[in-house]
Amino acid sequence: MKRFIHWFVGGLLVAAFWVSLPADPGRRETPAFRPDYVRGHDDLNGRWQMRFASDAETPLVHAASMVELPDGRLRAFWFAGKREGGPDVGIHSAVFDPRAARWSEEERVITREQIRRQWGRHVRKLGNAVPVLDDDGRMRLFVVAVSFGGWAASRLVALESDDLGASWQFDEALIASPFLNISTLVKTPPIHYQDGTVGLPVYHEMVGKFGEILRLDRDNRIVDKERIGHGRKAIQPLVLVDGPKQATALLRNEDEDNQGMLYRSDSLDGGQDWSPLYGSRLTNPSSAVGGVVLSPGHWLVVANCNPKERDDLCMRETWDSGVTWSDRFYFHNRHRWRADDVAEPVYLEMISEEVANTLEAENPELIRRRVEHNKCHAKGCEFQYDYPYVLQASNGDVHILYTWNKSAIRHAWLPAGSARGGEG
Amino acid sequence: MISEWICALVLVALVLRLAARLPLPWRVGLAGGMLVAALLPFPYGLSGWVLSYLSHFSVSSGLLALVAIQHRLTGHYWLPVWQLRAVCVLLVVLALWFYPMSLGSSYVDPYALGFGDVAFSGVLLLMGLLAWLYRAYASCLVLVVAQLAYGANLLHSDNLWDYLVDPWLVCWAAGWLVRDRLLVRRERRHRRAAGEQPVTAPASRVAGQGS
Repeated sequence: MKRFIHWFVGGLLVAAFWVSLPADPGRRETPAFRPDYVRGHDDLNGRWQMRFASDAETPLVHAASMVELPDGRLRAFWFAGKREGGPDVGIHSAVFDPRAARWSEEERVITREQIRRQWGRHVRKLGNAVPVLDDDGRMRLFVVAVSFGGWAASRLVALESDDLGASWQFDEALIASPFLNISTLVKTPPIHYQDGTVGLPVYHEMVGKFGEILRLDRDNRIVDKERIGHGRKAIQPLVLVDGPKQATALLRNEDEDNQGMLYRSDSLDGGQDWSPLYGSRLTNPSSAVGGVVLSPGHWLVVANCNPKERDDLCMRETWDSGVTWSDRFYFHNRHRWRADDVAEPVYLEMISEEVANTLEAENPELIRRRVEHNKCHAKGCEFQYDYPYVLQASNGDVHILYTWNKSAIRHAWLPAGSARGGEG
Repeated sequence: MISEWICALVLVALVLRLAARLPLPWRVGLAGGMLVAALLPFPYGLSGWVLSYLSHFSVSSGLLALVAIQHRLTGHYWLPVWQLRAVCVLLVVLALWFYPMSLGSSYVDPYALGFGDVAFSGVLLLMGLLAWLYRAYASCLVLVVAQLAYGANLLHSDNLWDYLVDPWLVCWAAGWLVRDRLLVRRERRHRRAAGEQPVTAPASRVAGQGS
């Protein structure tokens, strides 16, 4: 009997070994990216149109993202509530129709209570959300959810929608860290692989501050995970796919000893290995970066372009995969008021000008009040333009969403083939 | 639901440890009460709240909780102490390497291996075979059950590490080792005071019955 038990246990060990071998072919094979630039549409000599995607009904909005729908419209998401991290913060959404050049009414599509109920776990607050549209029309949304503590204790939950983002059903929480599964956040656009898996750029900011790519299959199972950077240096990796094997990640700098520029890392093997972080030559004050690949080597990057504050927002362009950069366009530039807080009347005058330069702004007075509430204090007021998210639609249009003074989500749209440069 | 069950087992084991001095009927009642309280649906059940904060317990923790519950209710300990000692040392040493690396101290990410890696599975097989050669069947079975659970995707995690270890298991192992050392020291002191020959390791002692 003892002999039988001995060999039986040995057999079980071998069986368990076979079971634990990677079944997913994607895990065994070398991955290859699916570049999604639109061929023949990398001309930026057009006129930007500025609109608000949000309606200012909610006091605070932040961290917009978007996805192109099969019919060419855009669906945007952002979080909104009375204050960042507040219990009332939910995920809001609106749809932009480029044919009518209009945004739909803003809607609250996901609430904290909904995720709490469907997940069966306590949810204290919600944060950034990033959408993915699958080839079959199913939409997935990856949302930062916190059960306790601050953003460093974030977890990622995946929700699914069968009606292109109008309503959502909780699917599962992604387990991406071995320590209480905390400190995984998302901000930047997903990338795609040729085998149909999706690469979700994420970052950690509890013990270490570093980026990663979670490779997910259709069922939101994590197939693989690759690290971009380590230690406490950089977060929010923006992955620019240049070819099936080439990609570059630009990361927001969190290194206290080496501030003032974005970090960069490169991969030449489909994202399996990333080079050590190095300076990208892009000045930045440790704020989020958005960008898109227009054609191989031709990238567009939107970010704050100074080493100190988030009071400007510029678009920079490279034709040589980031070896050299040129300032292409400034959406905002308030560097003259950088040294001190701006007196409230002067500030609100400038805000009114920006609202006036925004097409079809529905309620300018409410927007002004929101900005005053969010950005003015006893000593004066500050400008803040941050968290850009960039997308090139399949017709070649370039869309940028960013947080405008924490009070509105502003949309910059460059229709493909439009004639003159500038803002309108 | 498996995560909730494992959490419930851990909570029951914890309650039985705290109530170790109560009479058996009381302990049985407490264990039953805790099991029900843990498994009630969220937001009424304890498991949902505990897992909201701690994320999940590994399959190994669940199995160990089962053994602890059986010990507290029957008085018999199924795991030989030498095996438990070896596993605890292994867990603590592993954790000292695994957690700092996985949390970003270097470019190497051992946690990523858990999403499916032939070499990682091979190392587990070698460890299992080593335990098997030493007739440490309990350790073998923990490895087998954790890997089979991973293959069946029983937990929410897609990572084999999450089936094998969790931070609370490591904390428990570290605590057990500290207590083990204290018990060994006390036993040596007693033997010396009684004029007996000192022993190098209390092989006959049963874990958890020292106090």
